[in-house]
Amino acid sequence: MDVLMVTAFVSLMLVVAGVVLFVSRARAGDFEHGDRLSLLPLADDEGRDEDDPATNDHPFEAIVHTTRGGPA
Amino acid sequence: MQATAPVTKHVVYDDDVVRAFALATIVFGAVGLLVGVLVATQLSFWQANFGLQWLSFGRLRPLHTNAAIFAFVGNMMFCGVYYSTQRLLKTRMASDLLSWAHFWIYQLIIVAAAVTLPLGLTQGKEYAELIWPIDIAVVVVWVVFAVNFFWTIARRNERNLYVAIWFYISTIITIAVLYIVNNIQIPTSATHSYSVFTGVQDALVQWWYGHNAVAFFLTTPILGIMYYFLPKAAGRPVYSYRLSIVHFWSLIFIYIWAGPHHLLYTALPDWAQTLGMIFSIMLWAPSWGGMLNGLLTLRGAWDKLRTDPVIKFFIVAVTFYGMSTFEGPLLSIKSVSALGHYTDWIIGHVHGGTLGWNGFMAFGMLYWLVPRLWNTKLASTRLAEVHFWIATFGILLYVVSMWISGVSQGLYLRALDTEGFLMYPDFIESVLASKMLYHMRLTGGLAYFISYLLGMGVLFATIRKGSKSTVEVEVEALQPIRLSFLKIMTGAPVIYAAALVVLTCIFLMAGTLGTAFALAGFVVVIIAGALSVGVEKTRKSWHDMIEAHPLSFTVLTMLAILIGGLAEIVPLAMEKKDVPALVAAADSVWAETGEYTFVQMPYSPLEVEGRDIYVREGCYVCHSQMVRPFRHETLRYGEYSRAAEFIYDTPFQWGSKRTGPDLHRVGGRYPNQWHYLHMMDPRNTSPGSNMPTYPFLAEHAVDVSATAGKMKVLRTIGVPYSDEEIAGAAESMLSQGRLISSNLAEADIELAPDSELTALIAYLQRLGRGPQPTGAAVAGEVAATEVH
Repeated sequence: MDVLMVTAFVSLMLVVAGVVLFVSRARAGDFEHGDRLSLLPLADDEGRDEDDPATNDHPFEAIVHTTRGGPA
Repeated sequence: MQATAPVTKHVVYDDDVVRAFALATIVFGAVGLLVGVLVATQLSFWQANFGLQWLSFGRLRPLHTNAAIFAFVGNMMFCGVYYSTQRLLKTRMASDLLSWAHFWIYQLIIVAAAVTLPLGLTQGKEYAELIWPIDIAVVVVWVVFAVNFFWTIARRNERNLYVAIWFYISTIITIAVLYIVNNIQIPTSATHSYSVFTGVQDALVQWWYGHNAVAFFLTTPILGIMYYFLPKAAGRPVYSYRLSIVHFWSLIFIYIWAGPHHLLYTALPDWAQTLGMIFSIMLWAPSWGGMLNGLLTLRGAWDKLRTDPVIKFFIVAVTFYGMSTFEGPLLSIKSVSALGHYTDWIIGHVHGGTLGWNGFMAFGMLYWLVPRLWNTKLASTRLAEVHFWIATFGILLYVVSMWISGVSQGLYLRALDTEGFLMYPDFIESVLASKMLYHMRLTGGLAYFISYLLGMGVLFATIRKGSKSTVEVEVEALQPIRLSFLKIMTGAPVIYAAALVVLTCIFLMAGTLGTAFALAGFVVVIIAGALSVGVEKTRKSWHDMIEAHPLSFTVLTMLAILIGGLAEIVPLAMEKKDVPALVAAADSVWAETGEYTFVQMPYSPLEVEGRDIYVREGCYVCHSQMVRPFRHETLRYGEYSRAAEFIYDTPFQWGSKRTGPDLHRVGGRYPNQWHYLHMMDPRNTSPGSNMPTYPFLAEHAVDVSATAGKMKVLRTIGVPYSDEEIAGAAESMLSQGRLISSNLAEADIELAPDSELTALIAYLQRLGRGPQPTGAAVAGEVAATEVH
C-alpha cells in the first residue's frame, strides 16, 4: 500500500511538473513563433506550366517545365 | 549599420526521384495486397497453399507483412519525404547520386526479400525476418538516406525546420537504432544466423523493435506527411503549430516505452510489462492530439470533404489513426490483453492501422501528388471516388470481422463450465467458429484490393496523359545562423526535463533515502517551474532556436528516444548469464554423488536442426510457445511458461497469434505417429484444421554438415555445448533420428532418420520439457530415451 501511495504521488508530481513546464514555456513565448512557419506548406511550390497559358492567370512563385517522355 | 541585401538563389527541385518512389509505391502496394489476399484465402481454404512449400502460409505471411510495411509504406514514405523536404527547406536534395542510390538499393532489397522469404530464408522474428546480408543492405541504404537528408538540411534556405521535418528526423534516428540493435546476430552461413539475444532478452528487444517499427516507420513519417500534405490539400495552415510541438515531443518520448505491451502475461518480468502498459495508455494523449490537429486543419473547409477525393482519403486516414491509437492503448491494458492477445482482434487492429491509416494516407498523397508531378489533372475524379468508397467498405468489413472473430476466440478459449473445467477443450472449435468470419475478412480484403487496382488505373491513366514536370523557384538564400549548441542544450526546458527524468530514476532505483530525496526534488522543481511562469517573455523562443539548429534538434530527439529504450533493455541485458556454470556445477554434483540436479539442458543437435525448420516454415505465425498463467490456459496447454525455460532459445518463438494452439507444452503430449500424421495432413488428426500440409519435410534430408557450425555459434552466444558434443553432432543426430524412425516403423510408417520431418518431430517432442536431470552422460541418455 505504501508503494502504491508513493507511486501515485510521484505520478501526480510528474503530471503537475509537465503542466508547469508547459505553462511556463507558453508564458515565455516558446510557442509563438509558429505563425509564419505554419504557412510553409502553403507556398505555391508545385508551380505552373509555362507552356500552358491556362494555368498562368495568377502569379506563381514557381515555374514548371514539362518534358514529354516516360513516366519516371 | 547597413542591412545586408538578400541574396536570391535559383533552385530546381529533384522530382524525378519522387516520381520513381511514387511508381514503386503503386506497384509494390499491389504486390503486398495480392499476397495478403492469397494468405487470407489460405486461412479460409487451406487448399490455397497448393501443397507447395514456397506458397505455404508460414512463408508467405512474412512476405505479406514485409511487403505492406517496407515496400508499400516505405516507398510511399520516401516519396512524401523527398517531395516535402525539398520544398520545406527550399533547396534541392543535396546529392542526386545518393537519392538514386537510395532508390535502387531499396528496390533491390525488396526484390531480395520477395525471393528469400518464400524460400524459407528467415530470421524468424516478426517484421525482422530478413536474413543478415539483406540486413546489411538495409543499414547501408538507411545511411545513404540519412546522409542525403541531413546534408540537405545543412544546405537549406529556410531558417526553421517545419514540424514535418522533425518527424522525419525522429524516423531516421530511431529506425537506425532499432534496426541495428535488434539485428545483432552471428552468421552460421551466407543465409543463416542466430541472434545474440536469447529467450526473454530476445523477446523484449524484438518487441521493442517490432512495436517501434510501427511507431517510427508506419506512424511518425506518415504524421510528417500529414503535417505537410493535409494543409496543402486543404489550402489551410495546420490547426495549431503549438499543439504540433507538444504532439511531437510527447509522442516520440512515450512511444518508445510501449513495446512490452506485446508481452503481457508472458515470462517477461512484471515490471517491464507494467511499464509497457502504462506508457501505452499515456500514448492516448499525444496520439489524439495529433489526430485532432489533423482533423481541425480542415476547419472552414469541410465542404471540400464532399467534392475532393484527396480530402476524403486524408480525413478517413486520420480517423483510422485516431481509432487505431485508441484501440492500441485499450489492448495494452492487461485485462483486455488477456482476452485479445493471440486472437484475430490484433489482426483487425494492425490492418486498421496499415490499410486504414497508411493506405488511405498513401492514396490521399498520391491523388494530390501524381497530377502535379506529371503536370496534368487527375484522370478521373469519379473513379477515385469509387475507389474511396470500395476501399472504405473493404477495410471496415475486414476490421469488423476480425474484431468479432478475435473476441469470439478469446471468449471460446477462456470459457469454463460450472465445475471450473474448459467448456471447449478442443482448440479446433474456436477455428471452426471463426470460419465464416474468415470468409468475411477475405471479402473485405478482396474489396480493398480491387479498389486498389482501380486507384492504380486512375493514377496510371493520369501519368499517361501528363508529362514530367520540372519545378524551378527563386528563393532567398539563408544567412548564416549563429546559435550556440551549448546554450540550447542548457536551455530551461532541457534542464527541467532532465531534472524530472533523473528524479524519477532516483525514485525508482534508490532506497528510502533516495525516495525521500526524489520526492523533495519534485517539489523543488515544480516550485522553480511555477516561479518562472511569472517571468516576462524571453526575447527568443527556445523552441524557435532548436528549430533553427538541426544538430541540437537531432541530439534532443535521440535522447528522447534512448531514455525509454535504455530503461527497459539495459536491466534485462545486465542479467548474469550463469547458466553454463549451473550446468557444470550440476555435473560435478552428479560426478561426486551420482545424484541428478535439474537444470535447463541445451537442445540436442537434431533438435537444433528441428528448431531451425520450425523457424524456416514460419510456425510462429500461427502457434505461440507461451502458456500464460491463467487457469484456462494451464488446463488447455499445461503448466505456465517460465523465463528460465527459454535461455537457449534464439530466436525466441513465443509468437503473437494463435491460429493453432500453443505448442510450448506439446513435447511428450502425443506419440511420434501423431506428429507424422499431423504434418502429412493436419486434417488426419484435427478435422477442420486450416493448417497447410508438410509432406515435403519427409522427403528432404537435413544438412548434417552445417550442424556443428551452428552449435559453435550457439556456444558463442552462451549455450554450453562441449567440444565433444560439437564434434559428435552428426553421430548424435543419426542416433536420435534412428530412435524416432524405428518408433514410427512400429506403426508401419517409413521415415528416414535424417529427414527434416524427423528433426522437427524431435524438436516438438522436446518442447516445454522444462529443466531436465543433468550429468554429462545423463544428458545424452535422456535425449535418447525420452523419444516416444
